[in-house]
This record gives sequence, C-alpha cells and structure tokens, in this order.
Amino acid sequence: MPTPTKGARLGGSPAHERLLLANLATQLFEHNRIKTTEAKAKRLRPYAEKLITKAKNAVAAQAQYEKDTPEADRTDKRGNAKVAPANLHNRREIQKVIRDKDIVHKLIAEIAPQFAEREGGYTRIVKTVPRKGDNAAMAIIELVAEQTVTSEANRARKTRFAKDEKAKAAATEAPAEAADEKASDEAPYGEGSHAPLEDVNEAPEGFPVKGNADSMLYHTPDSRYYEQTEAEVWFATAEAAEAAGFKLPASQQEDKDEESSEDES
Amino acid sequence: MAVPKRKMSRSNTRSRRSQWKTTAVHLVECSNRACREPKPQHVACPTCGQYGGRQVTQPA
Repeated sequence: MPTPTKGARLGGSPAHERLLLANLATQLFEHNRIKTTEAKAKRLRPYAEKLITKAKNAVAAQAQYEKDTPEADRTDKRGNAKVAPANLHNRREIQKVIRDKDIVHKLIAEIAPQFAEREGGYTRIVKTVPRKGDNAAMAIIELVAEQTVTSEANRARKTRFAKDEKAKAAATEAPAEAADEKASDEAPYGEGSHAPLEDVNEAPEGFPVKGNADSMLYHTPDSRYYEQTEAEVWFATAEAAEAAGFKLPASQQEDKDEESSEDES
Repeated sequence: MAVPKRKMSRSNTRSRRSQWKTTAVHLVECSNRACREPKPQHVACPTCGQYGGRQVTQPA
C-alpha cells in the first residue's frame, strides 16, 4: 500500500494541489520569504527543499563537468558552450514545477550556491498570529539566510588572522608562562584585578566587583547575583572586568545598554 | 426520513446552549526583554516581531 503524503490535502483536487504547491514554491523562491497558512507552509517545506536539492545537483554537475572536460571540448560546432547532461536534467526537473524561467535561473544561479555548505534544512517556518477573518493559523516560511556554524568556522580558519594568532601564541608561550605565574598571585587578569583573599566572600580593599572565571561573568555589588557568586577574582571596576574579557550576565546587559543610551540622550 | 416529533422547547434549547463554553487563550510573556508583552506560545511576537531572538516580522 502506498504511503500517503504527510500533511493536509490542499485544494479541491490533485491538480489543484499541484498548482497550489507550485505557485507557493515559485513565490517562495521569488521573494525569499512568504506568509501563508501553517498547513500550506508545512506542505511546502519538503516540496521546496527538494527543488533546492535539484538546483544544487545541477550546480554540482556543471562544476564537475567543467573540471573533467577540457575547455576545448566544451563548445559545440557553432561555438556555444555545452551544458552538463546532469545539469540539464535537473534544470528540466525543476521546470516541471516552476514555469517561470527567471525564477528557475534565480534558483540555480543564486539560491543553490548560497546553500552549498548546508546539508538540508534550507527553509524555516515561524508561526505568527492567526489570520483576521477566519482565524486560520498563519506562518512565515523563509529561505535560511545564515551560513551554517561549521562553514563559518571553516571560513574563519582560512583567514590570515587565525594563522597569525597561532604563530604569535607559539612565540610568546615561554614568556607568557612566566608572566602567568607572577600574575596568578596578585592580579590574575591584569591591571585592576585581584586574586581572592583567604575569606572568599571578603572583598579586597578597592576591588568590589566579583568575577566568575567559569562563566566569565562579572557581578557588580548591586547585581542580584552578587551575594550568591563565589568570587574567583576581584576587579576594581566593571571596566577592568570588561577589559579582562569578563561580561555582564546576559539578563543585565540589556539594562546596561538602556542606561548608557539614556545617558547619551 | 427521520423527523422530530415535537418542537424543541426554548428551555431545552437554552439548556443545551448553556454548555457552550470558551477557554482563555494560553498566553506567555514575550522572551524579548525589551518587550515582555503577552503573546501565544510558539508564535512570533505580534508586538515586537521577534521569535527566538530573531527579528521575524516588522510589527505594524
């Protein structure tokens, strides 16, 4: 027995459903994000992602063809550039659904390379408030614009900064160790910091700000976390803590921003 | 074809309808700290347009 398609049936007939999905996919690729009912968005997601996969296959096939075939063989008798057979096939598969050739071109030339690093999950559905009138559940479906975490990391590794830092770190390793030993006694995080006293809860003279080395957060005396925090390092001021790489707790960062913006205005 | 034998009394009609009830929509506070408006759960905030720390829509 054939497995039925997941999700709601759309429209009144199979032909109507095909047209609805094709139109939704076309609109999605044209505008990058569309607002529709949740049921339609959920049906559209796998449908659109399969089209993107076909577009990616077309791009990959063309790249492979250009790599394998010498340039002289890639033109036909009239001097026109030849297209990889797999590229053409995938393009035609897409054109079965998307009739607008401009959109097909955009899908292959713009959208597919954008998702080169991403292995599936090309779209995102976010629910929004129900529609006025019929109270239908609405959702926004959009193409994911962000690069994946791994691709970002790979790109960062390729930059010259990553290399420089490694070389510098190796060069300064020996003196840094010596400095560390000295620093750990008095000021483990440079100027404006102070190691905890024997009584952990007693602030050293002139160093009222608590630092938590595990979370890399600092707490000023008027913070609500101040009492419960066990200081691993003390700072003279919040600025000194910031300079050492410590941050305000996430819940207080907003407040601080607001305060500073108020000061400016 | 089966048809009602008697007219349904106003009392019976109203008794039946007295069981029609509505429930309050479950609302949660928006996770955006600058907004904090009540909104339905798992839905982009209609007030600030954010969901999961991402600006999803431009609020009207």
